[in-house]
Amino acid sequence: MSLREHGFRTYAGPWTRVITRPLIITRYTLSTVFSSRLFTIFYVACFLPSCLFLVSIYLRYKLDTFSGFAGFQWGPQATIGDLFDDWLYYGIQGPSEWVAFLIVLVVGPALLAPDLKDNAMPLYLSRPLNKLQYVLGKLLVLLWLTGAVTWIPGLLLVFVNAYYAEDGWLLGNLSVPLGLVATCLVWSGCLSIIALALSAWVRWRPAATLGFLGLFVIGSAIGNLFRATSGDWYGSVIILWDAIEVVGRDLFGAKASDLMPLPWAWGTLAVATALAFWALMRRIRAFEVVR
Amino acid sequence: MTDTASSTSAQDRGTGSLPNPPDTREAWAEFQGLSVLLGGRAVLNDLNATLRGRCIGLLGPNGAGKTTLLNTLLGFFKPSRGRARIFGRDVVAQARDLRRLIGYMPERDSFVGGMTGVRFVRMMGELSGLPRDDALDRAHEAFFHVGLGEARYRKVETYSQGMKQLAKLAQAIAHGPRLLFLDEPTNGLDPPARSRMLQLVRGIRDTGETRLVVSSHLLRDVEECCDEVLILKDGRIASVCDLESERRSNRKFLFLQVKGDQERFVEGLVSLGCEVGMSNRRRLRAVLPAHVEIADLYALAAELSVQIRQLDHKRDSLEDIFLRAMDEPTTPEQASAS
Repeated sequence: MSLREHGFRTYAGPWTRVITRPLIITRYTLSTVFSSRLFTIFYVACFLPSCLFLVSIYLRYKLDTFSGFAGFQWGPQATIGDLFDDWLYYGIQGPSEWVAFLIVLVVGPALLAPDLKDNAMPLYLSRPLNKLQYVLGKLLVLLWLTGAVTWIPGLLLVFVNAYYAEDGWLLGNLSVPLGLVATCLVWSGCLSIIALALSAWVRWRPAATLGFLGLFVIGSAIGNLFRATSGDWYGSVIILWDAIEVVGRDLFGAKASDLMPLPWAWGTLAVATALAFWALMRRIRAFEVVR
Repeated sequence: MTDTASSTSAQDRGTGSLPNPPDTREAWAEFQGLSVLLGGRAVLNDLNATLRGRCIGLLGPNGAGKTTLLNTLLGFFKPSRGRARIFGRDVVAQARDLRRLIGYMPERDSFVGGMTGVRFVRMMGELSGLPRDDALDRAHEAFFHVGLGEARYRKVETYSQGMKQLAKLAQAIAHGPRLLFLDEPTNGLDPPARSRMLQLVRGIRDTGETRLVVSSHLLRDVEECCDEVLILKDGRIASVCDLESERRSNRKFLFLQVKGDQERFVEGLVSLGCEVGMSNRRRLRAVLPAHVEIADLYALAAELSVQIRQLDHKRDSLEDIFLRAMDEPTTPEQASAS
């Protein structure tokens, strides 16, 4: 016999704060995401670039011969530009962008589509939760997943490097950790909102995944073609990878890229994010209105 | 994460005073000229009503505006004109505060896939504002209460239609709401499951702590569990009636068949104050005034040596009320046309 109450009764206990409700969605969604063993293996593998770079930092400082063998030019006395181009960008920032892209590609399209397919929105929105909070809860899932394998280990690597480098290295290169965090957040945020918008509009997960991939592949192809034929940078405005590289170099304090002017790069990311957000919010509603 | 900070507003913290279990006939919902436009079309038009019943049946033909009314009360649709108040709170201005007090069971299949039943209901409880442990406890309770205790660890998407309906009810009651909206709760249920669902609805109604609004096009379902009905037609209120008082007022509506001196018996009935009509040569139709009981008719028959061979006690069924409401014009234009 069950020990549970079987009757209906109203609730008279304490209530949680409204502001914490998006985190409930984040927590439950993360739990569902990690219930897939395959995804967990993939996610652990995403730490591999950081681990390899950690080893390379150790070798860089402990094995003088390795430094010469690998052809690294960077030293504590190097300028920020050298630092960015030769070592930190390719060691931390470059892989981070790819890892974030892959995680959003795998997880993003599956976040909203099932809720919309299963008609769960009336259940969510009939509670003290608005659609912005719902979207925020889902967005935090992607920001958490990408952050944990990009800027968080990236910061750790910068601090490890600072530990081995000369005193004052970190203070002298403060734009590196700040730029790393800012670039990762901007990139992850932009990717996440685009993925959520696709997930909301294309309710079939494989199609949403293909759509997300296609958006970048086709966008890059068209942009590069335009750039190659016209000979100027205008084609880059539809290539988000180029935009984030330009923005990333600026945030790192590294030498500017010639892919496109900085304001245009910021504009590209802002317009893409704003359009995706607009499309996303149009799709999140408790009920369809038949006109 | 339970509230402890004293600086947070009462609304955010959810410690604002909850409505006490209402008196039996206390008004708890009020519509004042409530109108809703969707896609440029008036789906609800100038609704004015005060609801007092413990369980309100929302009736109307398809497209009458039943679901739209529920959605408006939930804050999904904004009124284009007028306003609605529930437990004294405005459904637009105080929507968030109100939703904490409301449980909603939608008409269509609705669930969060990839979760076990109890986890799904727990999450919904937490989203309503319950702390984690309380939400877990109450999710289990809700599942046992609706009769799905043994299936609570199964994935929701593997449930049968009837089980999904019950799971929807479980998520609606997990946080112990003061008001429960049930949209077509018996949709797709076989007779035993329907009977079980109605039994649950009556059980919740009889606690007296929760008001219910049951939207249905099945008159029998509404008749079995509601004490008040709001009938919608073309987005307007065709009738609001208290089923109990309707039943009481029609209690003494009788058909009689007598053997003996029928004329004297009719005179006797009239002298008692009854309205009498002859539905056919052998059958009398009588409406008894309040002070006359059926026993008085037997006494009269005995006095006049008349045998009462048949006595049918008829009352207005919900179907009669509904059909009457459908026939009555809801707009001045219809009234003038008729």
